[in-house]
This record gives sequence, C-alpha cells and structure tokens, in this order.
Amino acid sequence: MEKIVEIRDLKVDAGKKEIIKGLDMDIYANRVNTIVGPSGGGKSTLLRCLNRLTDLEPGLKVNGKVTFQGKDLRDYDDVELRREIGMVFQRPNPFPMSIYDNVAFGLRIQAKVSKSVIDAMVRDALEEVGLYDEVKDNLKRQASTLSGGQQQRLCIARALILRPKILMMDEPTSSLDPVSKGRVEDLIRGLKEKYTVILVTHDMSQARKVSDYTNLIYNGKTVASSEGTEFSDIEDQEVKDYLGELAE
Amino acid sequence: MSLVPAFVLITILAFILVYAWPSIVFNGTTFFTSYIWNVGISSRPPVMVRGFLVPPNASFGALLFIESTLLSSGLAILIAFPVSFLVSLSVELYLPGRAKRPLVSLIELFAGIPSVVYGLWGIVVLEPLLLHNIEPWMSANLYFIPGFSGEVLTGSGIIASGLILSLMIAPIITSVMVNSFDSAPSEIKQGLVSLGATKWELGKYLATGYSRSSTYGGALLGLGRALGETMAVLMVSGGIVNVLPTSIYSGINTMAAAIVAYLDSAIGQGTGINLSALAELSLFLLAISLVVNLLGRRIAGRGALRGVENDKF
Repeated sequence: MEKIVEIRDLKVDAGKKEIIKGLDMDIYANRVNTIVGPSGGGKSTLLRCLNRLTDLEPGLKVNGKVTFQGKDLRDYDDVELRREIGMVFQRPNPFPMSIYDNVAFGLRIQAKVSKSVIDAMVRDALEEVGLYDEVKDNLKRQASTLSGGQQQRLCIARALILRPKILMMDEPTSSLDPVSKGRVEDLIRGLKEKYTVILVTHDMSQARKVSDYTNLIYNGKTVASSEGTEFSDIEDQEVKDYLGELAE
Repeated sequence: MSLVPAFVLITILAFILVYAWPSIVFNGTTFFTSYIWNVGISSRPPVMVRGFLVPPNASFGALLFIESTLLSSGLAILIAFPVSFLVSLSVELYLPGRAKRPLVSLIELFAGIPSVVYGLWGIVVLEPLLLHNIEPWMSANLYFIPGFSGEVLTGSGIIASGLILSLMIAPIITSVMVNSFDSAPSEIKQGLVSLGATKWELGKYLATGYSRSSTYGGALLGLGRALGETMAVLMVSGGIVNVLPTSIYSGINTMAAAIVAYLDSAIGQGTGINLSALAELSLFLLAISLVVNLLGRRIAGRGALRGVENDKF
C-alpha cells in the first residue's frame, strides 16, 4: 500500500492544553483511512493540521513532521495544499448562495474559467455525489433549501470539483438521518477509486462498513491501527473499556 | 414608558418646525438653491415680506452649508471606509480570539474622545501640516484630477474637515465590521478557506457576501455621525460665508457649524427671522441624519443569515 501522508511525532498545543501529544500515523492512497476515538481526543484537530486550517488559529502551536506525497507540509503553499486536500465538515456548511455557486466556488476563486467549463465541472461534481438528478432543474436555488443529507453531499461535491488528492471528512454523517447517512456511506466507498479518503467517525458500525484501514486515537495519540477494524494488540485498560463501549 | 423616546423625538421635531415655519414661508425654495446667507440690515426698520417682518435685504440660502456638509462627510467616508475594512479584516484574520475583545474595546474607546479634542489637534497639528506640506504638494502634482487644482490659502477646509471626521467615524464603522466578521459562523469561514480561499478572498466574501449588510450599515452609521458632527468641524472648516468651494483646498462651512456660529447674533435679532432660518437649517440636518441613521440601523441589523445572491464568485 502506497503511503500518501506520513505523520511523525505530531504535537498540537493550545496554550493551556496539549490536544495532540506526539502522534504517529500513516495514510494510504486510494483507501478509506478511518480515524476513530472519543470526542475531544484530537481527531478534528488532526484533520485541521493536515490542510493547515490550524494556521487560522494563531493560538495553536503545531510541531512535528508531516509529509504529503513525500514533501513536508510546511513547504506547501497553504492555498495550494488546501486544494489538494479537500475537507468536509461535521455539519453541512453550504455558503449562503445558490447550489450552483456553492459547487463552483472553489473553481472560480482559483482561476478565470469559462462558463461552459464551469457548467460541465459543476455537473460532473454533482453527478459524482449522486445529487445531479435531484437538483438539475433548480441549480439557482439557495443551497440552504436542500435537506441535510443533500447539503452534505453538496459540500462533498464542492470539495471534489477541485479534484483533490485527499478528501477529509470530519464525522460527515453525525447530523444526518439514517437514510441520508446510508447514502453518504455508499458514496464514501465509491470515492476511494479516485481519491484517498480520511474519515473521522466515532461510529464503529460506520467504520466497519467503509473502512480499509483504521486508526484509533486516544488522548492525543494513535494507540492502535489495523487493516479493517479489528484491534488485537491493545493493552491499556482505559482504551479497552472505550472500545467496549463503542462496540455496544 | 416605552413611548417616551418617540414622544421626545416628535416634540423636538414639532418645536423646530414651529420655529422654522417663518423661514420656510419667507425663503421658499431659494433656501436650497441660493448660497447667499444675508442677515439683512438690522439698523434699519424691518420690512414686511410674505406676512413676516424681516430686516431689509435679508435672504437665507443654505446651499453652501449643504454642499460643505456633503463634501466633508463624503471625504470622511471615502477615507474611513477602506481603512476600517482593512483594520477589521486584519483583526479577524490575524488576531487570536482572546486578543479580539480588548482591541475592539480600544477601538470603541476612540468613539468617546470629545470632538473638541479632535478639533484642537486639527488646528494645532493638522492644519499647519496641510497648509505647508501636503496641500501644496497635492496642488502641484495632482492638479490633473478635477477639483485638485487651485490655490492653497489656508490649512482649514474640506481636507481638514474630512480627515478629522474620518478619524471620528472610523471607530464606529470598524466596530460594526469587526463584530459582523466575528459573528460569521466559523463553519462558513473554515469552509471557504478549506476550498483554497486566500485571506483576502475570505475578507472579500465576508464584506460583500455574508456580512454585506453590516458593511453598508456600518458605513451609513458613520455617515450619520459625520453629517451632524459640529465642534471639531467648526474648528477646522474655515467658516466661509457666501462663497462656494472651488477646489478641494477651499474653506467650507457645514450646516452644524453654521448653526453654532450664527446662533448668538440670531437670538439677539429683533424680528426672529434669523433664528427661524437657523431652525430650518436644523430641521433639514435632523431630517437627513435621521434618514441616514435609520437606514444604517435597518441594514446593519438585518439577519446576517439571510440568503445572499452572489455572482461575483
């Protein structure tokens, strides 16, 4: 398996509290890499380190070595990096503009692209997430009028239109109903053909459904990682208890 | 008790209207079309015109005052708006959350500086600088811009008033903008940035898209303050009478400044028409300020979550 991201001894310090405490992890290309762990354990912060959203929070100190495609993360231009590593958030966050403008946003700020090219790419992106048929007659509608599940798929399309290498998803189904959740999970499985997926979840059943490689983060560190979702080598009782709770 | 503010406002309006009435009838539309403000010859017996006793030769045209007010306030907005935008944007993007509040308090503190202090600073520091250094340079090098060619006679006038006013209103605009940028949900901000928006693009989107209503509302609230500002402008405007400005270096005389400057002599004048003319000027100033402030509040107060059609992106 080809490693696309290597994280070594990553530390994130928020002044009073250390959120990530020397974390190691490998992310494999064209796989669904899942990160599970309790809330407040540093999962979301880890994602924000990878596309350097942490730069926006001047209070955070990030140390350690992270390479993406063999190159140190800090040597990337931040804007360039974020186009290569797309992100979908916990709650759908459509911008207050039309469906079309939402999907086209990343393209339009990137370069002068002709309308016909944008049209085609918006369509491709919406088809990729299975939303095109649902919205094709209403592309000018406000994105906020879509259902929660549709909004989340819109946000995925918005990230995919930039053709990123990696798509990070931070608990993307936590605010969705079971049907929408299932659709997004199906989508995640399909995405790995073209993209590397990093999925944060605290839902073990979801991890079992979609994960190729699973990392367990506990208290700011990777405590176990394995293909599939079965961890065999855990000794720490606290972590065992936590896994027990998850399995229930 | 909740109707007290409305009652007070209506009472003030009613009183000013009663005082202004003789002037409104006597001057008619020439109040807005003429720039000659002539209090008449008080040493001669008054004459009867349109049912009112007035000093001979009296005529009251407010065009100079109106134009002065618009020019100085307009210049103030032109300077204060971009400065406030850049300050708010840098506060939003470069300051950690815990440093934001103290800085905003500091900015808001500026709004509480007595205007006479600004005026004094204007006379002592700004005017000499404008007269000897800045305005001569502008006149010699920027003469090709309409209104920028002309003789520099004093440091007081449009530029001094505009600069002082911009200092006074920038804190108001900045405070509205900072609060609005800050209140935009972090999911939206992070969403924009994670799609590769630069800090500049993020600011542009917040100002013209998400926080658009606060951007314009803040500017209008600042304008409302500038229109009515009296003391500082009185001190640096030049107190010109009966001459319209010919260039950006000209002296001016705003509505608020003129009311204060002429009030003393008007109260002593027997026929009362001078006082009435100043009351009409007050009424007009009050009307403009009310409209601008109401508009500013309405726009700034609109829910930021409203859908914003934005085709610029």
